[in-house]
Amino acid sequence: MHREPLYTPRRDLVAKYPTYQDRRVARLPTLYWSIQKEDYAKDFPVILTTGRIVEYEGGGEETRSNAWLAQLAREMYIEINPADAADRGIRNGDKVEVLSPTGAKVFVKAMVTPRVAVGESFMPFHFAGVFEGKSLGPKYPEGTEPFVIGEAANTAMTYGYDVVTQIQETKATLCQIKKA
Amino acid sequence: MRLSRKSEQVEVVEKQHLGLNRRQFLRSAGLATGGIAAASVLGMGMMRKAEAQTEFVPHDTPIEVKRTICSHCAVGCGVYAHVQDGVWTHQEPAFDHPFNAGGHCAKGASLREVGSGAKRVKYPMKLVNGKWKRISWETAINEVSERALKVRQESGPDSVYFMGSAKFSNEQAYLYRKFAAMWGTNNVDHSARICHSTTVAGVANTWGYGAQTNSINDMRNAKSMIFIGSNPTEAHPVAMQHILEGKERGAKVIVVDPRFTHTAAKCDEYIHIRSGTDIPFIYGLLWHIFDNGWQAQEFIDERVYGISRIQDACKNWTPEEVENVVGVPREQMYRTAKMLADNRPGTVVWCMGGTQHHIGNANTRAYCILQLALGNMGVVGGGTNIFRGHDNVQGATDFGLLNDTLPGYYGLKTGSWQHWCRVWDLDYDWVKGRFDQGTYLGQVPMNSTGIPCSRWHDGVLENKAELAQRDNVRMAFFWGQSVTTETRGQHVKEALEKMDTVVVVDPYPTIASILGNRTDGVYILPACTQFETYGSVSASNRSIQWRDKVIEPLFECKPDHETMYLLAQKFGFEKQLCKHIKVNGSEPLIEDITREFNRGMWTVGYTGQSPERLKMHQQNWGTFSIETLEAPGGPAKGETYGLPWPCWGTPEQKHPGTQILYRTDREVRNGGGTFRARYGVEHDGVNILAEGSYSKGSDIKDGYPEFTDKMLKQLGWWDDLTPEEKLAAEGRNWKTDLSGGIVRVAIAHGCSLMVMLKHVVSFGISQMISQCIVSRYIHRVVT
Ligand code: SF4
Repeated sequence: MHREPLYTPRRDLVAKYPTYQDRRVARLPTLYWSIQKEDYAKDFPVILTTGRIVEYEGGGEETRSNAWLAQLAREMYIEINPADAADRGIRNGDKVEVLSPTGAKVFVKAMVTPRVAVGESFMPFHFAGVFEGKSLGPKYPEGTEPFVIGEAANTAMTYGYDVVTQIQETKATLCQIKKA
Repeated sequence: MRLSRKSEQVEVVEKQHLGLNRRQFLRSAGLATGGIAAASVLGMGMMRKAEAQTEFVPHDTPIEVKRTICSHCAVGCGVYAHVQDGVWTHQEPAFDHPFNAGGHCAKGASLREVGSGAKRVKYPMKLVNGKWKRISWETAINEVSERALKVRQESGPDSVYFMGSAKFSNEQAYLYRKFAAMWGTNNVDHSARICHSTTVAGVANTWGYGAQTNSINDMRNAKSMIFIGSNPTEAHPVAMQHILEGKERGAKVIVVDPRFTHTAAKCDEYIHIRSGTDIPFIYGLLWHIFDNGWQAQEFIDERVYGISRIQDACKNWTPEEVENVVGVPREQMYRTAKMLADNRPGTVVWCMGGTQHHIGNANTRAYCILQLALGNMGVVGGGTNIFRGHDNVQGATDFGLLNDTLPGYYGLKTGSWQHWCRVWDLDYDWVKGRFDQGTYLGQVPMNSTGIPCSRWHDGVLENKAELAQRDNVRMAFFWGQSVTTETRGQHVKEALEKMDTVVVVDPYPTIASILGNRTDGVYILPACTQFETYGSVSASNRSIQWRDKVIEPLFECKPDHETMYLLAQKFGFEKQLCKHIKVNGSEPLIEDITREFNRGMWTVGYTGQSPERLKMHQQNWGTFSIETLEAPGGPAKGETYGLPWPCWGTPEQKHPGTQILYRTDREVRNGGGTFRARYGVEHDGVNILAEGSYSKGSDIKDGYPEFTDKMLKQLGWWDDLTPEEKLAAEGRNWKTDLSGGIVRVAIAHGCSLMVMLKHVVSFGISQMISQCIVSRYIHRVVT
């Protein structure tokens, strides 16, 4: 009943706990095995998960446009374990490049913290307005650019949809992190 | 300190605020965007500049106090908003509100800023040669509707995608779903898809309704709490008030998360699991529970079906295998299982950490099974307390702002449509005629699940021949929800670029308007926030709260229901959309929308919460107990705050709402209940109706199937109906009898509308899933 994530670091468990076969869900063809069968773990060894921070809500469009909240959380970041950071020559506050198996790259600040375990990382999902290193700030209608913009975590998040409801997999994927 | 403000108090302000009157305010904000906002950030220097342009609202201008609800999460904190001369000058967390008791997190505390209009979209705009151009509302509605009608003409109604929002009020969510139905598509969805859809599916499959079973307040009564993929300290901060109160009273707190969260910092036991291994973790706990005989055997015998199969499945999850797959050592698994067994009742809380997986619905079922094995369901201090995210994601889900159901989880079958057509007083054939009449890859658009909002971009990019609809998505309304929430950002960008037209309806421009490299074909229509309109909102615990309008719409913003009406006029179905809803100018009357859904939402009991009852609760926040959510006295005496659904029957029947789902120790008329049938009443020839378990005061002991006209006749209860009710109830069941007569009589006899069923824990997941695919959510819909 357990099924390994589509992008799993544990290749040794795939045979015993495989995902579903590809199938049609709702109106769309939906991929499972054709993704899991590829080994991404070699090039993208770090587990990546996402979540909330207290200052913002959802995609953050409204809360990042609120001066009081924007003041409290100014920058997009990735949490990375001190051991992984040391292996990569990354120090707290460094700019890093997060590489996704989809080919996407996001540029964020490193928060080096034991809050995440070795081999695991975390990004908050409320940021947007920077896309693969490029600011979209000037494209906003005048006077509407949020106080805080940043890379969207979901730019780097990968394929994966629940077989019943098509919820997206945003909690278990893989990435590589490099000093930018 | 003012601990409990009453709205009738009018008081004089003690110190000057940065208050502007509305007219000056709009003018200055239009001129110097960011001036006021920057003042907040940059401090006094800039502040003086802002002042220079304007005048103050005199400090002794009378204060109007409005009661509203924070719009940043589904905890649903009460707020007193102070308004002077039309300007929102001050706010206070409501100390007498039963959810927050004066608590707020950073988001709630900053709400007043929304009323300042910083960074808001101020007027309709369109992108022309790569530049934003101001246009009038008339032009915007004309051009947007022309473009939509063109796509409809060329590619059919399913080529327009209607992204909706959990920021809608209940009334707006309901109207938007109806709006999409009148347009003729099921390509309508909102963020519930991407946060708790797997919960709704998984929980409903286990015991009937996909929602939080107890309440956040009830966590004060828990003896243990296990958080799996939930971090309320950041995501639902004010819930911590109740959680920490429970902890002070002795509850054990367990946090299961790949990350040592702020909530983990408060717990008794922190367990690190590898992302995506929730099921082995739960089965690992069950292994110890069964191994030590800690399961609640009596509860299981009476109310649970299929536990032996779970026991068999657990055998594979030995402590060694769990350690290998999940990474948790045997000793910690044992300790945690024992903690849960020794401290009952306990509650399970999960959020996105559990749901947002490609096996999310199976995760949520596993959590439910744990609670069944421990006997923690249907009791005070127990339950599955699933915290919802956005302020009205529960309500928008209930009102079917989804691609796979009509309001009230009726589904999309013909019978479901016929039910709602009767509520709408519309000819079914007319509604049917609005849809694409073709069949695509075996699917009929009116009766088949639309494209989920998690994958609208695949609807744009996928090869047309692979889609179960006529053509690709060519135009989308991003109405109150942007595209930051979709994964695979590069594909999202590409889809935004490929579509004919992108329409953003939102108080803020959102990333959907700028992510694509486009020079034309993007429209932004300015929308009001919930503080510039009024209506009801459903909190995580199913309580329905009424919001006042705090301020008039800022700039040229319009409330969403008005924008829907303006578009409906151009699409030619405004008369059908608002057949029984009064329209003032171009704004449909909110209360009439509430009354209309009251007439149709029998399945989940959204029928008893009239606008009048909800407003009465709103005016009496302080009379509800923070412990039980019930009012011991006062105008709402005996009722639960916000009449949490199910609130059975018509408003006149005065059902008090149901704080805790599935409790059999109370009469149904007093908030008790049982489980619902989703798999029929038999499985493999085995009766799965409950045995020897029934709601207090029930005239029928043991389980029973769903109430229909025939069943009332068999029971000899038919003559309890009035002649009018008989007329309406003939040939109907309790979910389709618009008179509410069947419901009234069943409850009078102490019976539950939810079928007296055992919890179904295991048919083999694959079978459950295949059933779910056929018809998600409420399986046995209208026939
Ligand atoms: S806990 Fe939720 S409802 Fe309460 S103030 Fe914070 S965001 Fe608003």
